[in-house]
Amino acid sequence: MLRIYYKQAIEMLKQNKFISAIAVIGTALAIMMIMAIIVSDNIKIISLGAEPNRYRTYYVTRAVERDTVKGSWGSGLVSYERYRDYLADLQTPEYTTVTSWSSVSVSREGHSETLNLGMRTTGADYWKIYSFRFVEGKPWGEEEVQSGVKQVILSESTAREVFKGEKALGQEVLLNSVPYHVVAIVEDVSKIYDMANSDLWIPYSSIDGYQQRGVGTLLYILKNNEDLPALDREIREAEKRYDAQHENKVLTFRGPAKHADYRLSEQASENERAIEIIRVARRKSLFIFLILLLVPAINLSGLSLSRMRKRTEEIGVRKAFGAKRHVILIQVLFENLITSLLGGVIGLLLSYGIIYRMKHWLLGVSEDSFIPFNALISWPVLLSVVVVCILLNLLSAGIPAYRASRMNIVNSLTQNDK
Amino acid sequence: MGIIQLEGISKIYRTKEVETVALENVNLEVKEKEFLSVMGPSGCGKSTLLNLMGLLDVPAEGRVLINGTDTTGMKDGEMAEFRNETLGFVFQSFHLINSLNVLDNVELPLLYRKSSDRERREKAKAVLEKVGLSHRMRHFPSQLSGGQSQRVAIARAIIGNPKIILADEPTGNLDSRMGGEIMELLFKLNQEGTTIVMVTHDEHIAESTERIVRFFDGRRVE
Amino acid sequence: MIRHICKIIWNERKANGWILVEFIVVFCILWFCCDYLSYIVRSNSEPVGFDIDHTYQIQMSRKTQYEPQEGEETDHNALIQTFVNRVKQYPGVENIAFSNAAAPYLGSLSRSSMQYLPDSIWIGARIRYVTSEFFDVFKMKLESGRIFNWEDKAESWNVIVSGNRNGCFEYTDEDKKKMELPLSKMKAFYNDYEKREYPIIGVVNPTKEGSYSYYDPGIYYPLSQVDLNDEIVIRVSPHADKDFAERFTKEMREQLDLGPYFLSSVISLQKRKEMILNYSGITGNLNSIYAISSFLVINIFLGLIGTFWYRVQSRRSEIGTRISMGASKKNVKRMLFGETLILLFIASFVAVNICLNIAQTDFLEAIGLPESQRDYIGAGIEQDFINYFVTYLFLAVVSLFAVWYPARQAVSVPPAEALREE
Repeated sequence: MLRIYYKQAIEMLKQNKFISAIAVIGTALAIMMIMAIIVSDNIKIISLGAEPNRYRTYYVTRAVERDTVKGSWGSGLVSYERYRDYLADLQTPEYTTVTSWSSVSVSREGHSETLNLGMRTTGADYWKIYSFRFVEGKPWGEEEVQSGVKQVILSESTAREVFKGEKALGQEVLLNSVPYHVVAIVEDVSKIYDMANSDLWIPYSSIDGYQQRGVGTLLYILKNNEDLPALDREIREAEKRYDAQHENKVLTFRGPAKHADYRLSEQASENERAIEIIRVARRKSLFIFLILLLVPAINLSGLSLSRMRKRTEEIGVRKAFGAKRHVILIQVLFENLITSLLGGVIGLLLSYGIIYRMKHWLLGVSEDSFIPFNALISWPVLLSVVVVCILLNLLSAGIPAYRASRMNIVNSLTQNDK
Repeated sequence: MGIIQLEGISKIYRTKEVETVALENVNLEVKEKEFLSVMGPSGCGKSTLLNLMGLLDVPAEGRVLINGTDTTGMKDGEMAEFRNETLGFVFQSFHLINSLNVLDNVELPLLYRKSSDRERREKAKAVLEKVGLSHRMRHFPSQLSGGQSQRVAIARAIIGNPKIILADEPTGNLDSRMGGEIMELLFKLNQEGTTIVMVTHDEHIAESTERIVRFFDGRRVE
Repeated sequence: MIRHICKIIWNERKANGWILVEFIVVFCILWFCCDYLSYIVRSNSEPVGFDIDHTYQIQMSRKTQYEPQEGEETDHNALIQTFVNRVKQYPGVENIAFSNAAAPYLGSLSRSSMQYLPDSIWIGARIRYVTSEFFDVFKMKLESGRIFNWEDKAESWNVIVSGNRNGCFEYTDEDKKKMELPLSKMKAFYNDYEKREYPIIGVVNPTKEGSYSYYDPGIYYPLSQVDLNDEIVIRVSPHADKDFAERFTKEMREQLDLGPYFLSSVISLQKRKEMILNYSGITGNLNSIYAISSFLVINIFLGLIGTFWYRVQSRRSEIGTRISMGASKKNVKRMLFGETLILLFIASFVAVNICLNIAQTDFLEAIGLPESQRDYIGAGIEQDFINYFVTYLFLAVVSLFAVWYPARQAVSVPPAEALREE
């Protein structure tokens, strides 16, 4: 039975080339927009490649200290002192580390050239959390971080840029005029991994005066996500310990936030504000999806209804020869589904094009970044496309199909005899 | 010189594979104030003839003269004016506009002329009176019987006071009683001076008109 | 003719429902897009008050490990002087200014309240600390009075002011009402804590933080103690402004290695402006608006083509009838166009009501959609009229384009064929 419907659907598409083209284009456009958003979000949130542990990573990003007597308050990065005294030795997480990013002046002794590059400070566990391919050498461990050695790890392209043809491992570079020792070279990491990506890495403790500054973003990797309440409890208890030890002062940390929430509300200093931001962001997404689905659905519905009106005679004949209501319903939905799926495939491919051209806006990375293939095509993405197609199909063919199935036989047969 | 003159008319329909000759080398003269019937079996081209007379179609060969004017190569605007002022149509399937009520349907030709709303209204009401349908002014075509629909169509055809009425099987979709009423109307109009060219396959009706021309296979035979 | 069209639309209202709904939805969304874009365009058209063409920021950093070398200058003022001399000697450098929380797009901001003496009211203003060259570097206009010179810095506490959009300072009176104080009438501020007067010696043009902000009244204090950690901005002559940043950095690195300071970077203010623009989300907002608008317009276009294609098909015999009654092709096309525009007009009427109501609520904010700031640009109800007309015109053009093809097809069929449809 389905094969006959399929054949008829294809025949109908061929016969009404103009209208069919419009229906397919309309569907493809809607799918393109929706998938561009879904795939971009997917890339930002899903665990893969250099960041395989996003799903169990929790972030503490900022701290707010309030003076209850003076009524003043200051917010900013978590300072090293607070980290060391309250957040470094929690029991729940499997791994704990810190990281921050800034730009740095890179030069070599005896060479005049200086480069402005991106530098990431890290703790020891950082290298266990993210997946790097070490070309040469190996990263620092806990002892090196404790002693604050001035070691640096370079990405392959940075090594090439700084040392031209020479071997980089074992050499010395000047970072903001301070000498560092190159201990490893890693393969370049795509900029879509915003925590793992950098031009070069150093231990956070190697910067002079690090104890008086902010330490960066705190990363907690849990063994599994059921441990989250325990982590949250530990952090809140840390806050209470601070309040008890400091008269008239209250400390709150922003976190622990899961990866998706962290990406949405990076700038928030406090959990309440973050929750508000996330809520608004969700509403916005919902609203936009609604528009992206409804407007094309209205269009396609209108087209389907008109098409139905033309075929009333055929439907009357089918019914006169025994087709039940739900059979008609399924036939109409099926024919429409062919259009939806065709539009869906085209739309998905177009959405990749959009993401490629608008990397900066959609993903927040520079135009020359490389997007790994498995970030674009994955089971969640394919599933999303199918779901969206079916949704669009139902929305746009639902009412026409229903009305077609309910048509009065005699009316349909005599429809065109006026 | 008749009010309608057809000289050397041919009309050919072409599809991808087949070429059908609908009319071949037809000459015909219709005199003013005449009531002419055009007869012949179905598919012999009589409807095509009427369409050509009414400028609804253009001949492959030959020319159509209406009221002395050669209509060959006329621009769309001129043809529209002609149809509006000189001709009136009555179709077998009425062709009323379903989304307008009876009064609006009848007014239609006057919409394309310069006249005020009030004039149009009044003329429409007058003409509906004439065909005996004043009580159905606000109804919609779907609410009328066949005979009533055709009477509305006739009212529409005459509202502009055309010199010529072209009727294509006007009684074809009606029963004998309604058909009789319609013919009565047409005869009255003819007496008042309107030229009528009617296509029909009903021998009985044709006999009651002034003149009959017969067609067979696209050619005139009588 | 219009009444005739309205009759048809009314009698066919069920079939017209879809297009009407779509028109309403799209009209509403485009209205708000227009609103935001107007805000952007109008904001952009008003000058920021600082001319940043050919201006660059010089950033100096402190070395973490520093030991003064033998014979090296350690006197702070002498260091500054050397710095200034060397920079000014570089070919193309016209002027150099130091400031604090003053230069545009450099990210630091300071606001405070000062007391205005005769009326004892507290006025909030944007505070800036600048050297006198600041006004030249940014080509600001002196509207009255004078700029401070080196003498002022040492002795008195003269300040320069700039006003809001109307050339006034703003404050709220006892009844919490917003009031304005014209600059032309003001003589001095008073600092109660220090028991000192700050005479106003000059008025410069109004400024805003960025293109999309509002004209914030400001007070310029003389920067008495200059430091290499301050904002340092230079103006470069246009013909020397080619690859300036790279050249200057390369050639001056050694010369500007002074004491504990080294040259960290040289960035054009134009670039800073772009970075801040990206960061503020405005570029993102604009991209989203362009994307959504294009999406909607294409959808409306397709929707109209499709719908009218079908409508025209099913009305073939009607069109044939009209032509046989004497309508010319132009008449019929005009009727179809007229139907579209009137449908759009009806929809626009409903949509305007919806939009004005939504604008009164916090809907946009709650959903996180970009909002235009009418009070920043001093816009009033005229903006609503602009929104309506622009949106209507835009949709009208798109709709007419969409209907053009089906309409052309409809009238190209010979009437005889059209009537034969049955």
